[in-house]
Amino acid sequence: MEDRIYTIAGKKIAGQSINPEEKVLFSKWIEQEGNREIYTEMSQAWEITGVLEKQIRPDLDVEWERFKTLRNQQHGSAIRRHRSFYFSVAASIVLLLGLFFTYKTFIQDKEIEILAVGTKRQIQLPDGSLIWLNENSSIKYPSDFGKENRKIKFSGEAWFNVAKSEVPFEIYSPNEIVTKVLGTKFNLRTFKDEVNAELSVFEGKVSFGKENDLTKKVYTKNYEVIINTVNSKITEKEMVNANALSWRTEKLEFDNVQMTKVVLDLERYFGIKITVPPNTDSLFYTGRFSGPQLEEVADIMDLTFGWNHKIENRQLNFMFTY
Amino acid sequence: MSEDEFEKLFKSHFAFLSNIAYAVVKDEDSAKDIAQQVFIKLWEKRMELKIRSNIKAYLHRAVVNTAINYIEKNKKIFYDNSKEVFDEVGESFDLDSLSSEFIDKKVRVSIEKLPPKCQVVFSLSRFSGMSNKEIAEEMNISLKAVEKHIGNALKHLRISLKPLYKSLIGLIIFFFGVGFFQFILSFIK
Repeated sequence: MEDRIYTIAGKKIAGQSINPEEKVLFSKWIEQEGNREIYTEMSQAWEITGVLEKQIRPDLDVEWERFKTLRNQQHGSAIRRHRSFYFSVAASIVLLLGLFFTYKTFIQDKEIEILAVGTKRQIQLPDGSLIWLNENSSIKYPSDFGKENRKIKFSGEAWFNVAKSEVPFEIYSPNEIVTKVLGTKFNLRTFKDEVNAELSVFEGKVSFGKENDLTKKVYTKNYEVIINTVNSKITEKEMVNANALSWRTEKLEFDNVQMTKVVLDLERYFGIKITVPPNTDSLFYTGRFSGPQLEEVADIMDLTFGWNHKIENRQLNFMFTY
Repeated sequence: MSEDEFEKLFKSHFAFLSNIAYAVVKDEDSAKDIAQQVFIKLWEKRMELKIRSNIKAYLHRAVVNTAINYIEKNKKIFYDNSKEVFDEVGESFDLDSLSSEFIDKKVRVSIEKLPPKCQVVFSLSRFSGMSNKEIAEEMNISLKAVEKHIGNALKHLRISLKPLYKSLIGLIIFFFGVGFFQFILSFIK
């Protein structure tokens, strides 16, 4: 009730109109002892607060300039926040890249890989060793090759001319074949998908065998060794096959060689499959070719044995002339 | 809206808006800051805002709300029924001490002691020239609530300002002067 009266009194003092109901309530209240005084004090309070009634007169030009400054600050700090965010993102990326390349350059072992894909390649290793890579062969060696170790990974076929050194030259081939030399010349054929690993030594001494074979032997000049990587059988013989290096010398030499061997050497040299007429395995052939072409060789074979040949789909097929 | 258009808007409304703010906060610098804030916000939103037919009303409301926030944030004196404005020991009320600064200060303090909403409603009603209905709209409260606030304000101010007006003739003359001034002003507006 009291609050209602104050509200009504407030309306009156503030100069607002009051409804009839409010009028009645008010008149009743003000007639009571002491209420008139309260009402007067309220009016006076209202009046005296008037001392604070004041209008300020801002300088509009000054305020406009101030506005522009404030606006640019706001904008600037937003941009600065934006920019500094993008900047820190960019900086982080640069840092990460830097770390990555530092790692790659200094920390990660660098390996040099050389591939001979559709061609033969001759390379020289840092220690002066020479390698002639046959087609589809590859070697890999660490960037610090030569000083404390001479280890290379090798697959395929290559002629090695290893520089003499106290540091052993080690070749790690597929199928766990390991070849070690100090300084020598030899031919090594170790393809992953070939059952046989073959070594032909021309000079020096070569240790050759399966990695975990403790009875590995050292082979010397003119030895040809074949290791069956599946059953680990080792076949050694003195080098008779002059054609082991045909791929490098580009000479084919057959001195009374059995047909099966002839076919094998030709297949290897020309990289194609060759078939011969049935029951010709026991035939022997003698002949020499220098820089031979497939047709040329086939023609001579035809002549020698009375055969005909057809070359199709990378296959050379000999047949009897009828 | 171009910068030129904005400048025009700014200059035509700034004084009015800062006086609304001043009515509530009773500090000139703060009042101008509030008005600036409102214009900064308007500038930032100038693309988003659909062109309101009544920007003035929008700005008006924004200023009132910002001023209310200001009061609520800066409320240093909290309403305490028991405490009186004239608590200080040795306060005398003879004529000499009733300088306008003294009165000014005491009145300010009394108003600041009011609860925030009450203070704002009272100030707007007393100093801004807004009608109770307008105040109710701006503050999103009922008309009745506005009237209640005013009544409540006077209820407390009556007590806290009692010593001031209990005394002197000078004050009465002052009242008249103030009242007369208001009277004249109401015609100029």
